[in-house]
Amino acid sequence: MGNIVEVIKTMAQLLKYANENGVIEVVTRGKNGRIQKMSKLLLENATKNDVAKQQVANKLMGALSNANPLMSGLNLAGTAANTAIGLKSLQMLGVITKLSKFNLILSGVNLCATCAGFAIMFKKLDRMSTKINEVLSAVKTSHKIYVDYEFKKVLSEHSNMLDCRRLQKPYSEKEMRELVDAECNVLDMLIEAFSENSTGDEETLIFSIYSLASMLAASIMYFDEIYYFNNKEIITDGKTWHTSHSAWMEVLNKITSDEFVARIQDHGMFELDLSTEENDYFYKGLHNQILDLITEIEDNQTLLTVFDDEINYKNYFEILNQDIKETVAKAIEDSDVSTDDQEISKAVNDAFEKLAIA
Amino acid sequence: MEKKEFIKKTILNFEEDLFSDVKDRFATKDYITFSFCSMNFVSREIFSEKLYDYFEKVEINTSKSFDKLLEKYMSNMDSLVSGKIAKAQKANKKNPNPIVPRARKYYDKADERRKEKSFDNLIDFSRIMMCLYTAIIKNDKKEITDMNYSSDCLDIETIVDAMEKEQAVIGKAAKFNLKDFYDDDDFTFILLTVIYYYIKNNVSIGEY
Repeated sequence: MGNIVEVIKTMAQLLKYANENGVIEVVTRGKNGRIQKMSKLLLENATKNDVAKQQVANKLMGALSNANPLMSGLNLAGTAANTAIGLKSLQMLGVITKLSKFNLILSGVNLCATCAGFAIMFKKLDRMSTKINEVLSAVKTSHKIYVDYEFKKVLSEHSNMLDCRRLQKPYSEKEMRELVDAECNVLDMLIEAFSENSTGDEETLIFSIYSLASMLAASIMYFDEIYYFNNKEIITDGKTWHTSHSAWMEVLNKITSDEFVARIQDHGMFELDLSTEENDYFYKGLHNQILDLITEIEDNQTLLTVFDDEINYKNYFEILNQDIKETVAKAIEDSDVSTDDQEISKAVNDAFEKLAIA
Repeated sequence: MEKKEFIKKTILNFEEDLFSDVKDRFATKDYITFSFCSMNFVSREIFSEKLYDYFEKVEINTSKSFDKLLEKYMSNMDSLVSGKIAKAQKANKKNPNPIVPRARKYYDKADERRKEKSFDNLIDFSRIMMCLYTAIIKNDKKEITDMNYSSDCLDIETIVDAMEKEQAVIGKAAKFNLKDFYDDDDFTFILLTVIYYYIKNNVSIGEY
């Protein structure tokens, strides 16, 4: 890097410093040369800020679909058109509130990415682990799988991984990859069991599949982060990601297949006796959850390569989290809800903690 | 069910873009026409009044109440699909629990919805029937074992074109008499069209 200072006179000159997402990062350094502050500038009409925008939107929706009824009453869906549809969606969710697991699944990935959030999922999943292990045993026997993948072990290890991240204790690339492999294999077997209709308890199976998909997505993103920054200097063949990455994504894609979605539609129609309108919200909500997970993994990979530096990558999330907190605070203010109220303040802080933006 | 309730829950609730599509469709098929006013300037309220008047005229012309007309509509829709849905095999010693074809399960579900003529039941019945009929059309009018439940697979033009070409008996007259605009066959087509757009109007955001 040279010491030439360029005087900017036109937008075109400025634009050449924008990255592929249309973001110009401005760094302020202290006297010792270390980064003190990083600002990002999004250029007007820059179409490639969609990644950042979608990240904010996803996190916001995660906060809103939290089971807290106060939070679910707020609608930050954005435009007026979306607000009307969003309100109807919330009403429809109210119709299906007997499906508390459905609401829990919708906030899945955000709950599986932090200790505080995962604690909620863990309790429910742990209670189901005996039933799920029976299903896994049946699949293993019928497919002659001899490796011991136990659901409870996977839950426990995911919890351990999150705890290590929270306390900033070492969790190696190898351990992370083994966790992703284990979650992937268990998920694959559960999908197989559900597709073959070989178990009587469909609701448990559906909940465990979507929960595990959320866990897997969180794990893949954390693995990608570790893998990229450990290996980017030595990757020379353009194959940036681990060779198993496409196989892991393939398992998630199975949940979006026509055959799988048809099984979910049937469950809503015949087991839950939903109306066609309710069933649309049910199966599309679950389907969109997986599509969002896949998009989030891909967006995360984009962010990793865009920033290309661990400090900048982490700083980006700090800035993002601050954006989210400010947006939620404004939404609360616009809804005439007072955060002086202890209960409201606690609900907001709990939601932020679950989203790891506290 | 009252005809007013039906119109309130459908036309009066349609979003702007979809309501434009409804008007285009009705204009194209000459279902409802305006002598002095361009369709472009017709509001939901004006359209609803016209549709309500149409329903009233059909009731008078056929001497059937709205509920009876709904029964006829359901019977018409049922006649399009009932003979083309694969049946479950009979249980026997070798096969005590035969698999029921998916299409048959949905058909039976639709049949349950016929019992009580509420708005929700009417929508559920119609949605399933349209999906079944669409699957039959795609299978060259042959028997089906499965169907696509997603509302994205539905296309009103495909459904109505196929219905217009249906014959009561192969080689004989058309199944639906569409010459008298105020009879129950035309009523079937118009009701189906409104319900189709209701289903499209309530499609959730997102793919699938």
